[in-house]
Amino acid sequence: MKKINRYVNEVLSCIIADSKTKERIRKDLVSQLSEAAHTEDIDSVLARMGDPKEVAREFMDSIYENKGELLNELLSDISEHMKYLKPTYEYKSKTTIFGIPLVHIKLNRYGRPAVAKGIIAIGTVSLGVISLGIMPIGIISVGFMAFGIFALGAMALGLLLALGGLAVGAVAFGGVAMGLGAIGGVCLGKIAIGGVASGTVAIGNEIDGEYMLRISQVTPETSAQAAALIRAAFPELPDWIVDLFSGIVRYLPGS
Amino acid sequence: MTEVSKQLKKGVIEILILSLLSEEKMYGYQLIQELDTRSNGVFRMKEGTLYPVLYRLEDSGYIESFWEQEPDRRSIPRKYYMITDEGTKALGNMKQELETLIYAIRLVLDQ
Repeated sequence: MKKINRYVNEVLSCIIADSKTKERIRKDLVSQLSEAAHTEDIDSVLARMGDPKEVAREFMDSIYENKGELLNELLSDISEHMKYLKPTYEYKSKTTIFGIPLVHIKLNRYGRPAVAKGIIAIGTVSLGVISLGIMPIGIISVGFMAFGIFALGAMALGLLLALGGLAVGAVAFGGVAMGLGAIGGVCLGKIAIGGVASGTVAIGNEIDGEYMLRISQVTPETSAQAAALIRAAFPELPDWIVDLFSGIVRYLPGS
Repeated sequence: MTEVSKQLKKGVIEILILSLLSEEKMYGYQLIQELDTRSNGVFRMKEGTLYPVLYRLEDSGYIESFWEQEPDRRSIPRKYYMITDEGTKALGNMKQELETLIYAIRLVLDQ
């Protein structure tokens, strides 16, 4: 279905017509291609249909039948316009570091994955020190499905730190968080702090663990209680880590 | 295909489509296949030619379209086209005009 939609979008991008006609064409082409794909491989169907620009040209010829002059005028306009609407937008900075561009941006209009690689990379898939995109992979990654040392995204997988709706990392913050230290609505970890917490140390409203602190109301002593609990469970843990987690506890809402 | 042939085909395509639809409702892909098969490949239509003709016929009120999901099919619904009463009348007129035209052409060519 993705291939069909991509193909139809390419055809439509080359057709100048009112939105009603374009919508008609979209629905008819999607329906027809889906129909053909039932009995034949979709790649063969699309190959037989030919270049989307040619298909668009046929539509335009028929729509603007007997209006040749108008059609030529419109085609000349669209050719000019298309220069600025290339399927792929790409920017690569001239400055490089170890042969890698400082900035690389690569985006695609028709949903094909565009891979950007740079120190700062922005793309559907981006690989870089700082990466942004739908699927960024890097040291610092920000995007929909982010992978990195530090990752921020709807779904984030961070080796050190992950923040997101679903976060997995050494330290994870999120709606659902999993990690050595997990903080969030529902969290699972060695040290789990949140609404529903499960871990060796579990601190929160609904808790399950070896060392548990149920918090019905945060008081000035809560932080100290949490610190004592974490120290009891992990005596070797540096103070700053204990302070970090116990400090977070004071921001928990009471049940 | 020569330009003359193209123009001749364009001239009759509306009649052929209306004629097929006067037999039964059909979807776009089916129309393309039927035209191809019944004409022994002479009317092998491309989508870019067929659909604008269908839109013109629909806008003129000669045909109507509707979507139908067949229960045994997994994919998206089919868009069927069917002839209207107005379309049936128009088809009758068009056929008469075409016959007159063919008769007149024969008269000239056979002289």
